Amino acid sequence: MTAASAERMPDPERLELRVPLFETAIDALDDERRHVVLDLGVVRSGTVSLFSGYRCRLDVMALEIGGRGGLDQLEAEDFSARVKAALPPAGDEAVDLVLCWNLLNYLSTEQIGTIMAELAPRCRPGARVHALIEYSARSMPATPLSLTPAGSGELEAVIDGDEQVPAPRYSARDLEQCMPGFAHERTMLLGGGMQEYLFRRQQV
Amino acid sequence: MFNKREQTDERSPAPENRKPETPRQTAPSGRSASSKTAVIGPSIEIDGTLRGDEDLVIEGRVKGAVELKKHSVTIGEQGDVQADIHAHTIYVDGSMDGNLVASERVVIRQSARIKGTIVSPRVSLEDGARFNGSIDMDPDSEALDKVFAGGKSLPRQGGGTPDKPAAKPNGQPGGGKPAPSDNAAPKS
Repeated sequence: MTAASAERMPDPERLELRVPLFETAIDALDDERRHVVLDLGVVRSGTVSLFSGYRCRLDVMALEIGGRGGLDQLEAEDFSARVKAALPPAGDEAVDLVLCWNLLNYLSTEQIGTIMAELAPRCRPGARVHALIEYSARSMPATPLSLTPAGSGELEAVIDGDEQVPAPRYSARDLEQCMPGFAHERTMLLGGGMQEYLFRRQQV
Repeated sequence: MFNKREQTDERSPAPENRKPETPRQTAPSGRSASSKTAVIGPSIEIDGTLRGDEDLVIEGRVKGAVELKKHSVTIGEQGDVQADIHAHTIYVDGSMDGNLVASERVVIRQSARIKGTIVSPRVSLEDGARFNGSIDMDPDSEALDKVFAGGKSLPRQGGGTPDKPAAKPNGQPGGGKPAPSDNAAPKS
């Protein structure tokens, strides 16, 4: 990259998102028990930093969206294989919290169903799934926001690029229908057209 | 409570405040009694088990196991490791496939590519690093205890009993704020 082109590139836009339901989910880890947290996305420094304060194992699937070979570009068979390959070994511990961040916005309901069908047997009854969904806004960034925990009940979102794509605007019911074994628990409207969802793993 | 470590635990600074912690190439950790650092150069390939009594920098290819429980292991940017590593402190700049178990700390740099399991009471990761696997940061982890023989190998300064890894801030077993690592910020 030349110095001139570097000068033309705008700095990524950063914003702070208040995420009360994420805070609720984190508060539930505050006991003497050991926990397992599963991050579906690419792990960030803030995530490691946050969970190092708890007795927990942080599993990272590092599912990536966009670009050639991105998860959203794959056919059903390859998609399923990629998801299975990305799941860290479960060991003998069940998952307590699944962090979807904004990943589900970039997947079809069939793809979400494939992921959740893999995750359901690994989750203990009562385990929570946290997701951020572009709901009010009709469009969303083509490149997924980079989200990292920052401060009390906040996420820092980094927006890289101006290109927009239509937002799926999944309702809690839409997601519940493609997540067998999980029930909608709470929804919170956030700034910027996002909604925050919590789902719970039901008793088997 | 959210992000409680920032409020009660100073073991690992916030990412923006984090200073380079890695002895980038051959700087010794300062912890080793011998103050020596061995280097596996980029043209070297090793298949087997490595043991010793000094710090190690890997810039070549290593398959098998690395057992340096009282010393630091650095996987340099050119390093390509498919092995289980047991060390006091582990720094990763390069490529790693396997299990990392460190009694003190694991530092994952931006250039790191890791698939596997990390077990250590303190883990820091720079944005940009690629990681797929598990990070076990529970100081009472069975895996940590198993590798380090009940935690007896590494007594800490003021960090609870020698049998227990350093405490977590949320009232868990172990008690007290951990001592700073000798290896946390080595001088280069």
